[in-house]
Amino acid sequence: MTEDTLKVFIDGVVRYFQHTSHKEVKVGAPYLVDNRQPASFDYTGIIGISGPYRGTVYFTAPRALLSHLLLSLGEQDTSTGNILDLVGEVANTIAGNARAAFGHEFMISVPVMIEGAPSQIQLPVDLRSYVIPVSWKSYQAAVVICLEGV
Amino acid sequence: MNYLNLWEATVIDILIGKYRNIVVSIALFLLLDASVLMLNFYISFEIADDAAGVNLAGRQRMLSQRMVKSTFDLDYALKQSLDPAPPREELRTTILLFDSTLNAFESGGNATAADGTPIYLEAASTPAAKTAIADANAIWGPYKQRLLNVVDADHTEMAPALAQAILYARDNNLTLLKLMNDLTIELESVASSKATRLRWIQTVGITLAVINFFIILFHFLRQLKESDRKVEQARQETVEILETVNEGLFLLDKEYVISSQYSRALEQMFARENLGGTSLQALLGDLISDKNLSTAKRFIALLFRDDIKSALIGDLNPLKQVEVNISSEQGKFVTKYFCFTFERAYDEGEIANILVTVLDITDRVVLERELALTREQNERQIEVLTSILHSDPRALESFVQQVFEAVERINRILREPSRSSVALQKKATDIFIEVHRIKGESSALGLESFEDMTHEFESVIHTIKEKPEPAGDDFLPLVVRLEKLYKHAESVQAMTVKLGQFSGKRLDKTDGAQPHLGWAELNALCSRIAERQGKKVGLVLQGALPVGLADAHDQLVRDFVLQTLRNAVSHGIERPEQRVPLGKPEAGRVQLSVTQNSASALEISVYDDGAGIDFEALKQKAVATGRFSKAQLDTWSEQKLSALLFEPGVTTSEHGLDAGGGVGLSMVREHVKTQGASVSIRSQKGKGTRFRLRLPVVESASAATVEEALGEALC
Repeated sequence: MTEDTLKVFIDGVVRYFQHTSHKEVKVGAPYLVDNRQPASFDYTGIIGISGPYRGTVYFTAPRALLSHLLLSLGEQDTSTGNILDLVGEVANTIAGNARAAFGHEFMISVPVMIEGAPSQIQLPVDLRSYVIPVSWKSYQAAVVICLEGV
Repeated sequence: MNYLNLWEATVIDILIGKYRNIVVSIALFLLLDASVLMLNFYISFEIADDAAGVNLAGRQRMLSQRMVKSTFDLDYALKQSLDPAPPREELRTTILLFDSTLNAFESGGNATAADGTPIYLEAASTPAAKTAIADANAIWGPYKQRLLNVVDADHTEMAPALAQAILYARDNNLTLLKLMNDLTIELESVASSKATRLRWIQTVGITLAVINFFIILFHFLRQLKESDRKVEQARQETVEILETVNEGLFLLDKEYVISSQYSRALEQMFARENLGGTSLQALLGDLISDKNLSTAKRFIALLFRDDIKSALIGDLNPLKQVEVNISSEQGKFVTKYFCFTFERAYDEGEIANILVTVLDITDRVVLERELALTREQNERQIEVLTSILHSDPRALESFVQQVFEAVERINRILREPSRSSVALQKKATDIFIEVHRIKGESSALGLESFEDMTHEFESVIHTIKEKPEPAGDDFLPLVVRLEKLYKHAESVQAMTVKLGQFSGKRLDKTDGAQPHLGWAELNALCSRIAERQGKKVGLVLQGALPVGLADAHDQLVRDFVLQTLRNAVSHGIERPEQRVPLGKPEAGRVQLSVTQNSASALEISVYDDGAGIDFEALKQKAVATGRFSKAQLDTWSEQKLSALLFEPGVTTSEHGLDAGGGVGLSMVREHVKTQGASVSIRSQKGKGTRFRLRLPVVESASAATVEEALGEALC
């Protein structure tokens, strides 16, 4: 794993927020987290990656951030369905960015969205994931990256 | 010619093949029909001939009466003196017609039809007809003679001849009429029997044809049913095979379309349904690269060409081992390895389809990869092993433990929320202190791999610190190196456990105790630093290094000793070419003294006979940090200036493998403050520098072992 690889996924998130009315998104200092205790907020959009290296990347955010984000996008309906769609959209942007950056050697799955329950996020237990905190307005979200074979 | 042969072959196939019975039956049907038709024709013609015969026989009856009538007409003409010629001519014509017709009936030959055309008559064949003809001839012979006498006689002789003829006619006319009538009836009866026979033949022929038709129908239907049953059975067997085989099987046509029948395993392998009729692209498009897909298509196109031997192009198959990634419901990819094989499927000698077999070779490939990975891991382990082989396993284990703890602390520092760039700067500094300590320890233990790694780590932190306003993502290279350090520590730990098992004795848990720092380790540290910098140094140890100190004090002593020794060798001692002109010995002297003044006070000093502190350079560095002004520093005594060495970021050397860039001593100062200890520096330009640490409280300190008490070595 190199910082450039991590940057590709972070750029995906930053790119998404740049399309919103409140563009300023801050990337916090990254840290490691044990995969036995995967970190997540209320809603998570997960993409699978395969190819020269494989693993999981997910964007996770609290409901408040996502609701606010929906409103800032002009969407008044902040139901769970819309929130899940939104988190999936962010994951999709990460996937799209990764596809463009890594080329066809890599396979990037369609995002899966989950609500709560970090136990549903399956990560190899003997590895650690990179957590990159992202702050938008006063909210905190995170991009979590776990890639093997890097 | 070829087509002719092909046609012949096809005909022969049909004749001797499964359709033989049907062909024979139909041929029989046609033969029967043709025979009936021909008999019909034949008998129809016969009946037509017989009809002519009946007509002519009927005409004979009429002629016999016209002859009588003509004789009477002639007699009347003679008696009335009328012209006898017309009746005589009529009589002559009648005689000739009757005679020729009777002859024809008797022995076959031409007669004259009613319209004057000649007509051939078969000789009457039935006995009754023959008898009638013979009897008629017996009467007709004399009758004809008498009549001819009449028509041939001249005017004078005619009357007597006529009288004779009339007399004969009167006697035989009715008999002759009856005989001609008999002949007619007989001929009619023959014709009628032929018609009856024809009807019979037609009836029998049609009956046979109908029976034959039903036989064909029955036979054909039975055969059709049988062949349907066989087809269904074959289909059922195919379905069963396709349902049970473990391989993915399907046929591809020239348009790369998948056949309607394919094995169930195919759906399971690709986690898709209803594949029949879809294209190869639809099946593989999302799973393999476009390049592989187009190569596969070109390869399949080659297989459809019958001028190319499939064995020759087998090696070109691009899908012999292909990695496909199938996304699961959990958003993860399931990676499988498939082996595609392509075989031609012929239909009547033509390449109709390509049979594609897909094998799941994931287990094999994974096993191969695992083997390769194990090999790679073994190689890496050997590398790790060679890097730690010289180290004391106990010291190594506790060092690794230290690394883990440091990594955890660094991760905690990283994790603390910090939004401002000042907070991020502080993060970087705090992390640097942790990393620098590990670097010092690894250097002391001679663990070059850790030394290199931590040095690289420090360089990254320097880059961050140089930024006026660092951002969160500037820490990305740092966290990547943190993970590397973690992994490396894990590898070394795994190796130390293995070594422990190998040597047959398990290492006791050290409970986080510091690796033992003895003269040998310190001497080796000095030697390495000196060697790297092209210097010569002799380390002298006076007194004994304390053991059994409380953890916090022990850490302080370690940090102080390591940092000051490194400083002494890298900043204090000059290179030989600098020392000799100054009248100093080539090898510098570094002295580590440990004295215990009372039961509760420990003093450790590190002295070097090097160049002493360059206060001017020190002032410049301090000014460069922005925290001090030159004017302010100019008023300071050397004693006070030397305290600047403990300020973070103030150093007289650039960051390198053997220097921390002003962090090492500041780290010591932090400890000194918290432990209630004191530290002092005394330096004389050109003569040397002495760092002294005083620890006011020493718990359970005891002297080190005797062999470590004194030692001197030339490095």
